[in-house]
Amino acid sequence: MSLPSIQCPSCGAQLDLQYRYSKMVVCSYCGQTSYINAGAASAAGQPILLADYGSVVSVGKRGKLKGKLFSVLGRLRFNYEDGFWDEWLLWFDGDEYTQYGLQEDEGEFILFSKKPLTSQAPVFDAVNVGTNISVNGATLFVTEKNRATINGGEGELPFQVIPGEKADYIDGISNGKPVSIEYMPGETEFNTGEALALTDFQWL
Amino acid sequence: MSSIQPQGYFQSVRQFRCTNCAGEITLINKRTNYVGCQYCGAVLDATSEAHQVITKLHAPSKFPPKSFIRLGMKAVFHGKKHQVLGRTRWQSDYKEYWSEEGETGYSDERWEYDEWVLMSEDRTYFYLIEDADGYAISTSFLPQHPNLPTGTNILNFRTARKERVIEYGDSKVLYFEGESTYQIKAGDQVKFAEYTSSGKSYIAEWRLLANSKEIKEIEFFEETSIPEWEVLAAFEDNAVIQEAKQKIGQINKRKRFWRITYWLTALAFAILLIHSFTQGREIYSQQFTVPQTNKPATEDDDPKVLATTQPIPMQAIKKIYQLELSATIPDNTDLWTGLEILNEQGQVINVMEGDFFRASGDEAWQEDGESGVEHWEEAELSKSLLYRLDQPGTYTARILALPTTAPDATVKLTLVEGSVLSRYYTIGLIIFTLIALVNSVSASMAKQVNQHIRSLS
Repeated sequence: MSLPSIQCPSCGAQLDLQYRYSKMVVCSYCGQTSYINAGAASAAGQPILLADYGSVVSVGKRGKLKGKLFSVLGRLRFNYEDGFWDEWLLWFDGDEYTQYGLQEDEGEFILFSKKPLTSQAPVFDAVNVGTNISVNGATLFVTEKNRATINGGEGELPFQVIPGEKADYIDGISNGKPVSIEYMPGETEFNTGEALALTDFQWL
Repeated sequence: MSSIQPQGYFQSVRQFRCTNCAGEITLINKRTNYVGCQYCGAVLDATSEAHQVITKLHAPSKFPPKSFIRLGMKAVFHGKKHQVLGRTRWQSDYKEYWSEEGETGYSDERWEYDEWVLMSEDRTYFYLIEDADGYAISTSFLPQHPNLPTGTNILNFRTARKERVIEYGDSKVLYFEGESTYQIKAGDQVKFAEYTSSGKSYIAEWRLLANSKEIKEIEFFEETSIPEWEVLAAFEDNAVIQEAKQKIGQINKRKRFWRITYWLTALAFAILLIHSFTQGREIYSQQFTVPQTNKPATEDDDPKVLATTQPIPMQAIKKIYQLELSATIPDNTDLWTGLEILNEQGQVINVMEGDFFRASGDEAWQEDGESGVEHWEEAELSKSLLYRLDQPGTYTARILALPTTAPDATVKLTLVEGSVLSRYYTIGLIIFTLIALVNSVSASMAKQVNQHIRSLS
């Protein structure tokens, strides 16, 4: 079912949405971030076009991972003191909702899957790197704790953020798998991940 | 099967001049945030137009690469094309575990190494560690049992079994050149602990927050040593390796030429030696009896003429004539003999003397197995001279001797025409055979190594 077409409030370009639950879209022409409410786009923040640092992934691209087809809906770029990383939003065919974020950082890919927090999120400032904490009943060894900001995004995203907003995070390892807790504006996300090699992807 | 979009990863994506020294900087990786100038050692912000200097490390001349590897070189590792992006020179001050004669401990050590970062065509990275001991590949590792050391013990990252930390300490950045996605700071310091398992090294590395004891980040690595020839094979397509190979090829060609020459020369000597056995014709041989006296000869005695030969025709100009004077005398006696060669006019044109003796005693040089008596023997019973004939003619020989008490003493004169100096051929054969053998063995060993490298590349 095709979704109604909306226009960028900044430059008037047509914004074709694929995902019915998108709450935010970034115009690929002018970089204007728009919030989507009741089928209309309203500008949020200043236009920002992300610098192209090169990647095998791009918004709108289709691919196959472990036999399942997916589309790349959007991307968020995070900045922290030592550099940046990208998180690509993947929407697998047949899924009602998207819950997968593909983290690309220094040539390494981790497919994160959003999990509901069954216990209270650890207090960011109370967590020490190099210690074990308990999250959702499992032990998590903390490997990194840092403060990041959202540098910008592109494509469609199912939440609303503004470039420049804080996005603190705790990274760790649990049962041999990477895990991440992201302290996003308004909500704390718990993600469990799986390290992937580029050869795991088949691009269409 | 994966299908990866072709992209110009290995083409330069940005070029600018160093804001510190104006040296030309070329970036390959679009994601590079920081670049270390290889001309002046300044670390620049690669993302902004201003390319401001973030920090200045040591001068590049202070920390040149340890071998042939340079920034921008291409290499094939694990079947994938890679390009060298950057190099960090680290210095470690650490404790190293030792064990000797039942005692163990940790010694204080200092070590320097280069960490080359290589990017593949599909934008994955790995680190090539290079130090005085050789090379190792270091890859990021996700442990099943992540932990930091407690004292000098650490839990195995895979099995959680207790392992002994073999090295632990601090590493700091001395120098950086090329591209990096994270910011390199002067004096950047990491702590590390290492253990070995199944022939590999496992390392936990952690950074502290500035001016704090609190840990900022922990990473885990798996390190595998690789031999130098494998690294050379990986970098085989680079001009420097090609040039080296060409030079080696030329050297090998020259070596092959000389090897063949040595063998041919040895063969020539062998032929000459064999040929020499058939050379030489005895043209005169005569034995003369030396009269016996009761009184041993003194310095005042004059030699007596034993005989004068019949004229001997010698016609072969430029040929070698061998004149041999030999004596037969009993044990513990001596005999002085002389020889005068006279031309057709009866003039002495050459002389020769032989002071012969035969000694025998009880002192040991070797054991006589049969009698058990140890004895030594020494004797000099012949002498020969070689002449090249300048003028053909008929010559006469006069044999002289001092009176001797030895009974049955005789002197023999032998003349051989066309004699060949076979000992020189023997020496030549030995020398050239040895040289050719050494060359052939070393060439064979080098060939085996090259074949091994080719089979791996």
